[in-house]
Parts: sequence; structure tokens; C-alpha cells
Amino acid sequence: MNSEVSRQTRSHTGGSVVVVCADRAEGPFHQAIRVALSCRADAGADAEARDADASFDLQPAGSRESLRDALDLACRRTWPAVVVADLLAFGADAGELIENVRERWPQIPVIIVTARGSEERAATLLAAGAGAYVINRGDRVPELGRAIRETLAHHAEQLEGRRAIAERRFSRAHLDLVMSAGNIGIFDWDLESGRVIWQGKLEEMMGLAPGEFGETYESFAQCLHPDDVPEVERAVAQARVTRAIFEQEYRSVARRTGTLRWLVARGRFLYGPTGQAYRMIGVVMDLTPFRLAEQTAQRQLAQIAQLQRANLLSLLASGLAHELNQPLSVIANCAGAALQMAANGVLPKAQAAAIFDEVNREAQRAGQIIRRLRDFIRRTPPESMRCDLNEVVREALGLMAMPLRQAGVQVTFEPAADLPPVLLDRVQIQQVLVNLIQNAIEAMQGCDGSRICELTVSVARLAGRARVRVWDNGPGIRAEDHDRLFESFFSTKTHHLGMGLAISRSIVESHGGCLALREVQGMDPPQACCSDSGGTTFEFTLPIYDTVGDAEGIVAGTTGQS
Amino acid sequence: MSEHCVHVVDDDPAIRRSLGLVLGAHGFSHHEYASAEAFLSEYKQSQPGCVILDLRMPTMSGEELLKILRERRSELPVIMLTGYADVPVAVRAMKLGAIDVLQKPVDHAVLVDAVRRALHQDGIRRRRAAERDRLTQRLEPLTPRQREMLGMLATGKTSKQIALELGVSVKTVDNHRAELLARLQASNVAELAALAVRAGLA
Repeated sequence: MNSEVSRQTRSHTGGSVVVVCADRAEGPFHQAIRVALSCRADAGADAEARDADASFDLQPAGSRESLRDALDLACRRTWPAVVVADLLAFGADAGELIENVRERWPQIPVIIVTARGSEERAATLLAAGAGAYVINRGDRVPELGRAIRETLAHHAEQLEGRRAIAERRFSRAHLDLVMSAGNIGIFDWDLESGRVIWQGKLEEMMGLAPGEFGETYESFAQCLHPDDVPEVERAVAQARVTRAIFEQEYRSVARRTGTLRWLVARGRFLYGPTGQAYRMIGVVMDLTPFRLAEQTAQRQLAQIAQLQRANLLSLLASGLAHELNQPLSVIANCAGAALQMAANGVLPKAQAAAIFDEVNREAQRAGQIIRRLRDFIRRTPPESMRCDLNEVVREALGLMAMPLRQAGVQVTFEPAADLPPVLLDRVQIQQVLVNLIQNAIEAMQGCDGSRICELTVSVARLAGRARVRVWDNGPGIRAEDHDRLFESFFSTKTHHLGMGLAISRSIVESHGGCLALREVQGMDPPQACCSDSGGTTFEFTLPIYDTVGDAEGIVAGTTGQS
Repeated sequence: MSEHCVHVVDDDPAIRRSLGLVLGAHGFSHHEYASAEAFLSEYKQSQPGCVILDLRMPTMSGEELLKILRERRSELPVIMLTGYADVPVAVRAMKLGAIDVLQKPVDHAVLVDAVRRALHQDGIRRRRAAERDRLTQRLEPLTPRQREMLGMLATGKTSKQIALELGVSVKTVDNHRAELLARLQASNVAELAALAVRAGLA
């Protein structure tokens, strides 16, 4: 018992001892308490232990005011405190004192000290709420000391408990703050009962009114964008089986307003001793502001890209006019031939069929040329779709067919074999290619007529990426211009705005790829400068998501775009 | 007309086919080439005809082909087809001797008319060339001095002037003249002069 007390007192470094007695300042009662506190119950304790127990703060409280001040202070300090009252000083008022203290400072214990004990008195006062009733006699000094220490220690424990509760409350408040400030929600799915509990702003994030959530998985799934339901189900099932962290992005649709929100959930299943999943917990974060910002950026890029395409239009339009002449010429020729044959009176059926077949084919060709250009300058929001990159490059070369033909450029196209679909905005990637091809044409026009202008466009599959290279055998780019190439309004040509490469890079980067000038290896800058170098190669890469394992990437990309 | 051949040079197969249809309907025989290079390697100068040439082609353009033909002293008439009214190109083509520059799409009547004119011109040119060849044969046996003298006579110079220029006696000049009349079976100097002009010596 003694050693236990000593341990307790040692673990709590004292506290306030508010001494209530008739003496206003230090008097005999104080002295008695000091003696009691300095006299250890376990008399053999060493000096070190005594030091550890040291700080008792004796507060004399000769009046009600000073008592109040002392106790208020003790409460503010959340410091263990005890009232030690000399019964002699109060006499009949002792009961009232105790009641007052207990009413106002309910946690602070009161010890009544008396010189002459009386069982009835003790019973009355203990009933009123006194913590202890101690007879103050010379032989009972250690007892008084122990009573004060024990009471203080008990109070300290109470305080500790309250603090823990307060801390729990505080951390709950923290969590609420984080959840609301960070737009975070918590879910807890009890697989046995099927009940799903949501905390934080999850209902709001899922587009529900407070209390509207049905607390089931089905009720959750009803809030999802229908397109995302299968992916979420697949990811949940996968996490359950693989025991991996579940992470999935999805959209919620507010039932009444139809407002879309982008959310990402991260969580895990918990498994019982038999290996059976019994619970799933996780957090959900609201990505809507980021997605909206991304969309805004995408929209702005789309607008700038659109403007630049309009700028390219003049280039393409003259080529287009020229290109249209081809099918129109064929049609005119066929009509002329048919007319003449009819006039001659010889138009065999097979011949007529062949002629009209040709006319029909060429009319389609003319239509395609116009459609291609119309697509290129259309004003629709960007949309990412799985496309055959080879085909996209082929179409871009088609768009540039006339400018290339007019410049007398020999074109080689090397498509990639076995290339999975690439997620991209067809028009924007074609715009990048048109810019690169146009730059190549202009670069090659700078060379003398002594050599054949050659352009090679190749598509290749790398690990996780597709790469497109545009190579021309022109004079190359001066080394000092390399760093500034991708700046807006930088152009080595006087009649150019210098937006082509800057916009192209933005487009490629918005697709998660990168666009760069391929430095010619092993060439010193003086040689690379405008001499008979290896021409210029630009290349860009685009990420490929081809397997189920990468499906999240595609979903993320799609939701980001739509 | 059947010995004439219209050479169609265009890199677009549909254009070649349709031009072939038009030419065929009008009774012209024709031959198609996918590039200027192919035409240059296959075409025989001796065959009469004309060329329909697309101005813009990858590798060798119509204009370059025209230049090469002129360098080779080929006078094959060339009809140039162009996609759009490009005046400087048209002017250059005409200077290089194209007989027509037609804008696509071309009316078949206009095209056929141009082909007729081209073939007609080719015919005239070939007849002239043939005659010149015959004359050249007749002039073959002449010595260089006689040839020189023929040219001078054709320009209407007198024996005295010629003698003075060549530093020979008038008698020598007269001897040469008699010799020329006899060799070329001409009855007088005027006839000699006409021969010389037709043979391109004057």
C-alpha cells in the first residue's frame, strides 16, 4: 500500500494545496501541513525521490475571495489541487464551505483537518462531500501528508482522464475540421450487416441531402455516375480478393440538381481470423475543384489551340483548294468523256458503269477532303478517345498532302506495327503534326534546290508509350535557338506568330506526353549550326493504356476530359 | 491520227485514268506515266505526239520536266495542267515553250482543242524538220568553204564583197558559185539563197 502511494505521488509532481484557515499568512496550520508533506510515509525514501515529489504549491486562503482566486487559478492551470481546511477556523460553517467548493469547483476535493475528532462530525462532512477527514495530531502527521498526496494523486488521475476525453473530443474536432476543410469523408462498411456508415461531408459529396443516405452499398451506387458503376464494382471486388489498397476515382451525380462531383476513394478491407473480409473502411476525397481547374485549363488550351488552328487554316485552305481540284478534275474529265462517247453513239454499259463509278468515288474523295478540314477547325470541346495513332498520323499527312506536294517534298510514313489504341484528342494531335510538318516544309524550303527534300514521319511503340517522330532533311535548327524554340512568340521566320510549337507542346503535355527537339548526337555546336547537318527531328510521346491493369489510368483520363 | 501519241504525265492515277477516257473518246491514242522521270526514260523522240503535264508533282515537277525537254532540244508540244491560277508559273511555262497552260478542272472541249493544236504544231514541226533533214543531206557534200560562201550569197552579198571579206580573188568566188549551182542543181543565186535559208545556214 505504501509503495503504491509512493508510486502514485511520484508520478504526479504535486499540485496546489489551498490551505484554508483562520491565519491570513503563514501560521501554525501551514507549518503543520508543510511538515506533513515533507514527512514521507515511506520514511526511508532517498533524496532523489523526495525531489521528484517536490512541487507543492501552498496557497493560503484566509478569506472567501482568496479561496475563490486560488481555486479559479488551479482550475485554469488544469493542475491537481486540493483544499485543506482547518475545521477550527470554520467550525459550524465547514459544511457550507464544502458545499460551496463542490458546487463551484466540483472536481476539487476538500480535506477537513481537525484537532479533535468526532465520528458524527466526520460522517456529516464526508457526506457533504469532503474527500477526507483527518485528525491533526502530532502522531498523525504522516497520515495527513499521505491523505493530501493521495487526494492530489486521485485528482490528477481524474484530470488525466478528463484530458484524455478532451483530447479525444479535440481530435474528433480536428477530424471534422479536416474532413470539412479538405472535403474528405470517411466510410465504414460492415460486410456482415451490410450497413455503410458515412462520416464527414460524404452525403454532400455524393450529392445527397443530410440523412438521405440509405446506409447500404446499393444506396451508394445509386449516387454514382452510371458510367462509373462497373469500374467501381470491379475495383472493390479486386481489392477484396487481392487484399490490396482500394483506390478508385468516380463521379457522383446529385439526384436533384444533376451536379457532377469528382471523388477519389481510398480504403481497404479488414479480414477476420478465417481470412474472411468482414469490414471495409476508407476515405473519400473530393477532387471536384481540381478537376474543374483542370477542365478550365483544358478549355483554355482548347480555345488557344482552336485559334491557332484557325491560323493554320489559311495554310491548309490553299492546299485544300488545290487538293479539291483533283477529284473535281477527274469528275469533269469523266463527264466530258461520257458526253463525247454518247455523241459518238458508243457508250458500252461496262464503260458507262466504270465512268460513273469513278465519278462517285471522286465525289466521295472531295467530300472527305472537306470533312477533314471542317473537323480540323471545328469548335467543339476536346474529347479524348481511343484512337489508332497510325491512322491519326496518316490523316494529318493527308491534311498536309497539298502543301507537301507543292513544296515537292518526298514523304515517307513508317507506321508502328502492333500499336494498341492511344487515348487522345484526334484533332489536337493532328494539329501538333500539322505544326511539325509545316515547320519541316518551311525549313526545307530554306535549302538550295540541289537536293531532294525528304520528310519521314514514324510511329513507334515504346514501353508504355507511343512515339511519333517527324524528321526533315532541312538545314537544321541553330544551336542557339534550341532553348527558345518552345517559347510563345518565338519564331525564326518573319511572317510567323511563333505559337505553333508552344501550343503543340501544351497539347502533348495535356495528353500526358512530351514534345521535344531531338538533339543530333555527336555533333559539335558549330557543325550543327545551319550546316549540312542531319536535318531536324521533333518527337513526341503519348502514354499507352493497353491492359486491364492500366484501366484506372484510362478511367481517370476519361473522367478528366468529359 | 493513230500514229500520234498523247503522253499523260500525272502522279494521280485517277486523273491519268480520266484523261485517258477523254482522249480515248475523242479518238486519240495515249500513254500514261506516273512521274516525269518515268516519262523521260520511256519516251521516244521519234514518235509524234504531245504531252499533257501536271505542273505540281512530287520529286520532279512539270516545270523541271519542261526545262529538261528544252535542254534536250526536244520540241514536243507541252500542255501544262495546273491546279490554280498561278500567273508566274504560267508565264514561266509559256516562256519555256508550253503551248498551253490550262487550269484544273479543265473543260474537255478546251482540252481536246489544245491537244489538236499541239498535235498540229507537232506535225508542222516534224514536216519542217524532215525537210531540213533532206536539205542537210543535199548540203552534205559541200566543203566548209562552200558552205560559208553559200551563207554569204544568201544574204545578198556580191562576189566582190565576198572576195574582199574572205581575202580571195573575185574569180575564185565566181568559180565556187558555179560549183554550188551545179552541185545543188539550182538555176540561179536566188534559188541558192532560198535553200540556204531553209537549211538554216543564213
